[in-house]
Amino acid sequence: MNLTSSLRNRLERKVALEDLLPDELPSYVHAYVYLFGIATIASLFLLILSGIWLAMAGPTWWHVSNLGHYVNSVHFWCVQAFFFFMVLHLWTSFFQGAWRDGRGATWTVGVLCFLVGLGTAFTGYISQQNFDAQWIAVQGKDALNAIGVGAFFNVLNFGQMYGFHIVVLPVAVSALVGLHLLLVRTHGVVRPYPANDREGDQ
Amino acid sequence: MNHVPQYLHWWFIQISVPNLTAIGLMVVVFALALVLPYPRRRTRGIGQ
Repeated sequence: MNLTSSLRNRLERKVALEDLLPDELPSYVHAYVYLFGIATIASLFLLILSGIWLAMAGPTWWHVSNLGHYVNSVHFWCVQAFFFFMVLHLWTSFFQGAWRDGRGATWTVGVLCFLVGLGTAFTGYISQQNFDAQWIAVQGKDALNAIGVGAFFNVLNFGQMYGFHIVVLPVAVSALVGLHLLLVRTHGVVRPYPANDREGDQ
Repeated sequence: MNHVPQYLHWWFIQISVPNLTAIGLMVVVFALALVLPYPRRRTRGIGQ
């Protein structure tokens, strides 16, 4: 057995198409709190689309033209929606104990999505090319120097930050969100905690 | 966005009004998502 066949066998064992594209869901997911995850992914999708448009047109366009202002605003508000819904999804997952029954990896990858998302938003704020960006960069450099990574991650270097923001970190976030979704599909949505049985407690 | 927002300061807590508004809105949306009944359509669901 070579690497290709072992990988194929592993995927066949672990990933079933009926899990990836289910047409039936457990009855307990009929609640609005289960929509926060997909709302986060929808925000990310719009973020990437508007981001591609901004990257192709460039900073001058998004600062001086009406359409550029609009697309820049869409990108900005999608970030707000992304974190808004991601934190609500985090609250939901926390109170449900979503790491239970072998779902530790799903929870951990979700945490990584959040952390890498923070870095992506931070590099985005310092790529705005305005006074706000300069203020955030000058404040942020002290924090990064204090933890010893200032030589590798220079927030005053626009080219480096822009590269991180439009290539490295979005690819990382997309890959982590894809892995998170795959883990959710393969392990399923966690069952709610059992109802409190008062007679059983006594 | 290029202006300093208004800040609220109470003891050791200092937070801008926009951030406090966003957090308050999140709490409201979370509470509504918990209590509002989800519309049930004629869909097939496991355990139904």
